[in-house]
Amino acid sequence: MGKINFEETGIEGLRIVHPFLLEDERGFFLKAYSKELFREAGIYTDISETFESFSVHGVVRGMHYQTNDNAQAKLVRVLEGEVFDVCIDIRKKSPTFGKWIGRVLSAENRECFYMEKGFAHGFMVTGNSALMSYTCSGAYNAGGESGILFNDPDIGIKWPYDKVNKIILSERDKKLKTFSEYTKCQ
Amino acid sequence: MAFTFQNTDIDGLIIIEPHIYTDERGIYRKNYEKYIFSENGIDCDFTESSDLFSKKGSLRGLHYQTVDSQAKLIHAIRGILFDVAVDLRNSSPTFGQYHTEILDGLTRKCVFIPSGFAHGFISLTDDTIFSYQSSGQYHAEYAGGIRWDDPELNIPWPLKEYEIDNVILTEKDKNLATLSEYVQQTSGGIHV
Repeated sequence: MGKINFEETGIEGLRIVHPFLLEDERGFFLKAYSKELFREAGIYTDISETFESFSVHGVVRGMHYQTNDNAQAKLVRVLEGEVFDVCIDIRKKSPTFGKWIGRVLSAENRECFYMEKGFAHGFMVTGNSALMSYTCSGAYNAGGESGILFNDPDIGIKWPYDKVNKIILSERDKKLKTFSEYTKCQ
Repeated sequence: MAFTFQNTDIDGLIIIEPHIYTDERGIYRKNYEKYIFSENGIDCDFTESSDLFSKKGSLRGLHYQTVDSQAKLIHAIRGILFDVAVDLRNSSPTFGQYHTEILDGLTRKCVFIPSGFAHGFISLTDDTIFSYQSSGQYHAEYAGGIRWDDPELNIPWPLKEYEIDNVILTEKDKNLATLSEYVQQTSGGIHV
């Protein structure tokens, strides 16, 4: 079976994953995750939770993380449409604490983000819509959910506002903590 | 979590209604949560995650793996698919029986297919996305298949209902064994 390729981002624990692709007369096959191939790349993770989200144009979901013991590693990919996807390093002891990486993920480029535990994740739908697929390790814990405001000024994510004609944010995501508040909490 | 689990006539093959949440942003759908699935009789380690994008009329299958046979959790993400799982488990009381399911991106139910089955599906609409996670690992050297139009199985592929005149198959899938040939060539099914 062919290879999955990994690309460094400059933040340790965060990589771009290029799935194995096989095309033929029927269409095409993408393998984004293989425990064995990820292990060969030095990534030790498993599948405990999988979900999808479908979002309309202008939706922003994020920046989400699960606290401490509930933290999850995540593989995120776009199966339809296009997003600007962002991961923030929220590991307090990390040399890249507070740094973010953004990337266009789309059905066309087929790129995925893989993040270890300790990242806040979110995206903005820049296409007409976006269908995202998530593969996560660790157990989901509703009580352990938290987040940081997507437009926190200290993080300073450069969202592509020129590509959207509106922003749709849930009431919950409007009330997330600032990065300053996150830095002060345990 | 609002998953529901439904047994079928084939032991171990389970239909799952996922947890779906809709709001002004769109739809959120959870397909799998390990501890909940374990509590409901689905206790395996999924180690691979893949997506298949298919043209209308594309048929993949019926595929099996004799060693390290992979259990699968499958669903449609976009479009409509007709999915088939054939019980090839050695000594299974339902050996040779199959289960079919229409998988629809809108309703998005999932099917859990245990190890020891041959599996296949046809894309009934264009640009479908079939997504699955599987246990174990794919081994090409242990992969095999039974032809989609096996006369003994006589699977009711809904070609007329969906106006499919030409089924698109790889050369390999066109030349798979019949169920009868499979039974003759093997020691009575897949050991799981």
